[in-house]
Amino acid sequence: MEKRKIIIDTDPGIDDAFAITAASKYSNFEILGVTSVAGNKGLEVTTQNALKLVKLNNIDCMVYKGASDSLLEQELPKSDNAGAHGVDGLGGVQLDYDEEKLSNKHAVDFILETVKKYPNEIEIFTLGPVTNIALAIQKDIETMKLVKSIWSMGGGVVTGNMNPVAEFNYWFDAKAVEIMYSIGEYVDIHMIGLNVTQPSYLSANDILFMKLEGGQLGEILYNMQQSVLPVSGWEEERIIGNIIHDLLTVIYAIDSSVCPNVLRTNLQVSTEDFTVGQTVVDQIRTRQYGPDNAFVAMSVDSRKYKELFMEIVFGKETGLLYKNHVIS
Amino acid sequence: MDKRKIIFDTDPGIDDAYGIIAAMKQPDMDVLGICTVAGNKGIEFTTTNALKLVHLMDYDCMVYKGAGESMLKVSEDAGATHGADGLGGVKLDYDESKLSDMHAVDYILETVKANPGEIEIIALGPVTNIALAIEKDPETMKKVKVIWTMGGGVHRGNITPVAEFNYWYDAKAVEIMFSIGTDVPIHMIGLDVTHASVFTGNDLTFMKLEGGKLGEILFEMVGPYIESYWKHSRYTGCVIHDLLTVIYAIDQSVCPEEGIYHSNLRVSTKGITIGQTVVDLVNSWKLPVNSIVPMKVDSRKYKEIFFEVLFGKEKVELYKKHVKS
Repeated sequence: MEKRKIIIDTDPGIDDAFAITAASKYSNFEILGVTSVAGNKGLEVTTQNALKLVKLNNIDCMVYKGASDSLLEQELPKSDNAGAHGVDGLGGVQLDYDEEKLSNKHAVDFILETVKKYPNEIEIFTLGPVTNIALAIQKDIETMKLVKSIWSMGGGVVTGNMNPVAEFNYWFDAKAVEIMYSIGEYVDIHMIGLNVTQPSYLSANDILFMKLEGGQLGEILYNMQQSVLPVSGWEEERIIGNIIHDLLTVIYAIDSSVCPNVLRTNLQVSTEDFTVGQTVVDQIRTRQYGPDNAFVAMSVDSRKYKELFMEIVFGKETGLLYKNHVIS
Repeated sequence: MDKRKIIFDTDPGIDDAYGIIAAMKQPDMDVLGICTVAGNKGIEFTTTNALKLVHLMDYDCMVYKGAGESMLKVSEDAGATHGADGLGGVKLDYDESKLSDMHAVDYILETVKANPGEIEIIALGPVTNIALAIEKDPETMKKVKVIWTMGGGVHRGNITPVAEFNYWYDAKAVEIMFSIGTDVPIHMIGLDVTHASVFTGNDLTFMKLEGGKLGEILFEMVGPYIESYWKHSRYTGCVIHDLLTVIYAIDQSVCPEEGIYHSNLRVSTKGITIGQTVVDLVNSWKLPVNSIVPMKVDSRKYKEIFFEVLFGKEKVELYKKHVKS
């Protein structure tokens, strides 16, 4: 059977690291390239982190550097505190990388060329701000209509984390979000928002299990969490654990039954004023704002999601141990 | 109000450390002295570890070195369960001057004589010292107010299929201890209840996050425990046996009354069942009651009391509100 052809557009980021790791371990994915974007950290850091994750997971693909600025020229939150991902974006875990895995090609060109080469076959995971996707659409919208599907972490249905109504990725480049959903009538765009990522956080028990049974990789993922869980999990969310937004996006793309309730509807994003980045999801399908352009995950089976994650990343046997013995 | 007068008899041990610290933090308990015994580790280790706990908590009491050997000459310790040093590898200082010259057995007897009917002994290790004290002066030992002992189990073991480590290590001493159980109430906290009250990764992480420096030390201490409980019992977390003993001594309602049995208890001292406690829950032997054995535990309440005793009201509210074990 032919494998699914994947491009990962990302701003690593600890949750990106979990997600990329899961995608790389899933046997039915062929990762054609990893494109970087500014978001969780500036572009240089996210690009380097993408290289580190490619090496860590031994992924046979290149990294393509993309947009360093939001189309709205939104500024990154000042990093005088380390924030949700630690100073280096990967929770202070030291990882090597190969500079030669960095391509000279721009992320936008790589995306367009790859879609042209495999029309209607390419699936894009967007784990960060979607600036690269928007730039590709602006450059060649007809080609971008030939993307098979986009699995996008961002937004939320009546919830936010950057402000009361907006999620970070979509807030950082709301203009790009608007442009991306403009092709949502032609391309299946799945939004995995905070409304499903927040309830499916990994608990300290889950994270401890990775350390106990996940070998070296499990220990690395455990260590990534240690410096950030006290802040982004406990202080900000009052959970003993951490939300791994991007991971749910990848697991959902692997098995969409982890989100049992998905709404096909119209989605708009606010690009102004204090609601910038807010996703307005037409939950009652008034069709007031336009045609259906999004698939919006509305519920999540957290247990199933985590079981799948453990099985994919650490193997069947370890997945079974988790299933049988670990209560989140 | 007069404080409760407590003597610890202990072989620290990670779970001993939790238990002793909880008692030291409990306002109505006055820990008069800490007697050491060989068990989890040899006597030199357990004595040093007791000194470390006194120093860590800056507590005003002395440490009394006790029996270095089981009456049955068992020589095996608890291995790597508690880490190489018995406290999970956590580096702690101690003050040699807190070690008394008096033997633990003499200390126990003198203290009971000076406070007849008032002394509560919390026995967290093998009960060799208590048995030696009984052999030396049974009449004095009958004036102990109560003994809270961690050991045994009704329906399970850990070191063998039917025996728990402390009682297995010195089954003879257990037999001697329960011989005064008709005069002194002896509460046995066995594996049936300790294994029903696991501290999970979530609980321990909460302690690390909100417990300040002490919370961090206690978190670090259970590192080897967590590894071993995962391997042996498939718990994502660990059982802190001795802590339940102390929390139960603080507030008996952690073990619901309908699950508490007043029974005759016998311990096997030979063969493959050595160290096994046979508790006559149904009174088939018609022998005198010499033990009080809880068989049920409210594990949530237990953990809440622990967090409140150690870290205060405000922290336990956070725990109640936000932490699911």
